[in-house]
Amino acid sequence: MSAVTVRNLEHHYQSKKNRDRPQVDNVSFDVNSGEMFVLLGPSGCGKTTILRCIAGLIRPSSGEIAIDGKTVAGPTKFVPTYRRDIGLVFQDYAVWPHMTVFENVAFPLRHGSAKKLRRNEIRDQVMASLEMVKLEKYATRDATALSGGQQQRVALARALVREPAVLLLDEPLSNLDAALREQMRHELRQIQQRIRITTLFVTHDQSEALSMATRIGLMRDGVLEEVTTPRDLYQAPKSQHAASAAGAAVFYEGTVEAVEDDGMQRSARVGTPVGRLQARTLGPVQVGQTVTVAVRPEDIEVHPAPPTDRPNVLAAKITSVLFLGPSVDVRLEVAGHTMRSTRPAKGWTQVEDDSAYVELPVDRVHILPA
Amino acid sequence: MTTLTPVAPPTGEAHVRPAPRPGVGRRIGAFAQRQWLALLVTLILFYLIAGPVGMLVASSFQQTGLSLPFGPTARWTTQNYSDVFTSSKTWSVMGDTLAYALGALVLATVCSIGAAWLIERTNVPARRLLYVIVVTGIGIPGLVYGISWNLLLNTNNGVINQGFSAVGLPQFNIQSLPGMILVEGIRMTPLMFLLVSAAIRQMDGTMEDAAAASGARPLTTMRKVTIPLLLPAMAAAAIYQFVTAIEAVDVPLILGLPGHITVLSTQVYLEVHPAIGVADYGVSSTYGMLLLVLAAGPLLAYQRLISKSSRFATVTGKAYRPRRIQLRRWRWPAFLVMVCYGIVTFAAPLLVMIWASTQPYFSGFSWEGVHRFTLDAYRSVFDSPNFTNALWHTLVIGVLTALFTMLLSLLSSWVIVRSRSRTTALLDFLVFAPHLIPSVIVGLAIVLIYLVVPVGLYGTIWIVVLAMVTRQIALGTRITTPGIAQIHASLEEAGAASGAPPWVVWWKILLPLLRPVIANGTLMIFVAVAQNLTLALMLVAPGNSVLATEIYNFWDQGDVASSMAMSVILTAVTATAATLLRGGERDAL
Repeated sequence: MSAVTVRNLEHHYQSKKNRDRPQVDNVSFDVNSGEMFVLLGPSGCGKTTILRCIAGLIRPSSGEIAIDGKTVAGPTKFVPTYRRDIGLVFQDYAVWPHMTVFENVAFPLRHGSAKKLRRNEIRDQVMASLEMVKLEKYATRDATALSGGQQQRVALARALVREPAVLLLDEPLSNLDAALREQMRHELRQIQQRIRITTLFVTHDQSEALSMATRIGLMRDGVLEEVTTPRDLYQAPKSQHAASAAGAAVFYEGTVEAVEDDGMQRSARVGTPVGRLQARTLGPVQVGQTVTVAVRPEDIEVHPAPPTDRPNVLAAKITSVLFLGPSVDVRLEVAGHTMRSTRPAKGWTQVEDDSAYVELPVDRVHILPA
Repeated sequence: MTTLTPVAPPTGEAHVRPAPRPGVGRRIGAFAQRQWLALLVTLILFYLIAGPVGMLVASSFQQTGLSLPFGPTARWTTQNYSDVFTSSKTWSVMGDTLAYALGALVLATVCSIGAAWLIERTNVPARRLLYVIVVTGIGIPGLVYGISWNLLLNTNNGVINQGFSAVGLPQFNIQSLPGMILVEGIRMTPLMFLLVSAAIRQMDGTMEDAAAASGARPLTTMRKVTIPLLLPAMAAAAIYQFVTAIEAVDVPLILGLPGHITVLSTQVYLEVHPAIGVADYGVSSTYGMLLLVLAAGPLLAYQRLISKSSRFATVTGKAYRPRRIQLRRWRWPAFLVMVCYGIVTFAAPLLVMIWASTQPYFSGFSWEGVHRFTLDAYRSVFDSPNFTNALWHTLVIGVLTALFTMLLSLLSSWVIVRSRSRTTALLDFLVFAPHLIPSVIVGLAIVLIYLVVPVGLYGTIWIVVLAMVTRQIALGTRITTPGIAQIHASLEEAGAASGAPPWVVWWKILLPLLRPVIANGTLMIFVAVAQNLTLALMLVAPGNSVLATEIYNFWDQGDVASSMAMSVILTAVTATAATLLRGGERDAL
């Protein structure tokens, strides 16, 4: 069953310059009960607008939204934010500075509930919510006396305390520093898995999307391009945009020279500026077709001497090596074109100007529409 | 005043929780509410502003020699304009007005920039104390200031002039154009100083360091970086003050009238309060039109200037403070100059005011006078029902004006800051427009409206409140708009997402967060209203006199002691409020 249904959602901004360019263009998707659905896309792609439409902070130009089977936005209907069964966490925390931690979290119960709760009921629910985010010891503190990460937990506790039908997260981790972000990712994931709350998560961070999502909706220019699992998005991208949205990749344009189909798998030989490449392909391709070939840097192997009996080996020259701790980021020149490879730092010995041989494993070379 | 009551709850249908019926009730969500609010606020402001302006324009084309505009004998005419423009007096009045306003402006600018530079950018000692010395003058009403300076520097028995004579120096006549410029100039300095020093404080020090690192010498840095960066703020402050100088009647009435110097504001006032004969509202309105044009030009330029510089810029972290200039051996001389400035501009007027209030008759300062010390003036003032009424009216009008103005300002600013609709441009202009209308005109036009339209407001305190709200709304929104802009919209949205309806969001989130802004704004408006003689004098009738008008009347009748006793009391009230204000401001920072 789907907890959130979005159908043909459109939103246009009133602006004199580009009046007809929709911010959100005919977007439809479902968020299933208990899943973490991530909307991933660059800034300005319309993902936050969708979230704000679901929250009722923006009235969509057209389309329908239902939460828990009840229509909240439609042609003749618009339910204001405060009557929607939601919890919302903002990028900038939006923790009220004039209240304590407890008062912040109690606010939805005191002012947002249809039924009046007794004092001790409120206290129990607030404390349970604070325990969930490990802030029970900070209940009486001033909200602004907390660190950024703690404030974001207060915001999360406040969003969860009403046990809403859907939790909406608007780039909740992007204001935190890198180490804290990693930690919060785990905690957020754990809480979500434990209470199985339906969650819509909006982010531009690919690793956040890959690590948190049950499913990912990939957005570009107001359009929902595809809905897929994190694994498929990374390992079998369907477009150049999808490939780069799930991580770094190098792209070469090429022409299909031959197609082999052994009944089990289909592969093709593609002529590219860096050389002939053998690649697996999921979709049908024809000889003579122009395609894009994508490879992830972490899949490109670098050898000091040419390996024998392997396909897709190309002669290269190392132009720069960056030591990153666990890995090295290597730039190479292949037939006058730049190529990039990420290799484990352990055992790496080569330096700039060394000649080398790159290997692009066949099942890691993706053929995409040009 | 009835027009203001519908604003009371921030959301129209707030208190009647609509039953979950389909259709309209359901659909009045966040957006509809915002639009209704925008419409309501726009209508109220339009009423407050368009009414007086329309009345002024209309009555300037009315022949009103013997009656009110639109009265039984009044008819349409352009006679007022030809009278005014062919009168040689008009041009001398215009000349004096410009000389007075520009002279005072130059004096205030020099004093305030000097003081701001010393306090904000050098290592002069006891900067906190000096800051207080410069700013405290705000607590003295312009009217009281004018009278005090008259007692210090009139040629008959002025205290300082007595001193000049004693050491053989020539006397200075305060009842002259230079005298008026001197008094108005130093009266405007504290506010000008606040505006200028705020601009200097907000400047990012890295801008100057970057110039220095590029090889620019200190003077070049000042000429090419510091001054251009501060220019918009300085020009804005100067234009704002220019209108302050031309709109008020207090200093021109007290110092100009005895010396036969008339400026436009006093001309407007005198046409409706002639020493002999009947009021001529038509000619008064025509002079008012001249004043309106004189004020509108610079203020429209000011509005452009303000909108170009980032008006809604929110606090963006701590900017790096510029380095202070080391004064070395000039430190203490600079400090002494500032202290002398404080004595001359603040202590001297205050002391002469107290002195005069304890003398049966004022005859300058003398040792015999000490033996004549008496508190009779205070006794008779406190025994007089007129005084107690006036004090009560002053407080009530001050408080009511402050509250209504803040309410209207908060709602307008919220609509302006939070919505992107096209109606906000109109609203943005409407909250600024009262700046275009000098006090004396607001007073004149509102008197006319409620004389012509008999709704029983004339002669009540409500007509004064209405006029004061009209005049103060621009100041109010200047405080509330940046205040609301600093509160991130997500704090309100988090309230809505927590299930709180709009009125709860206002009551539990917005208003508590705005508390320092509201407190400061309320106090600032209260002080401005209590000190405002101009509007009160235009609107006064036996039933609604305030302290300022009582002080002026006693002074006008020659009862210096009573006038000064009341001045001491009024100054105590406004200075107390101003002191609270600074405390509040410090908390807000």
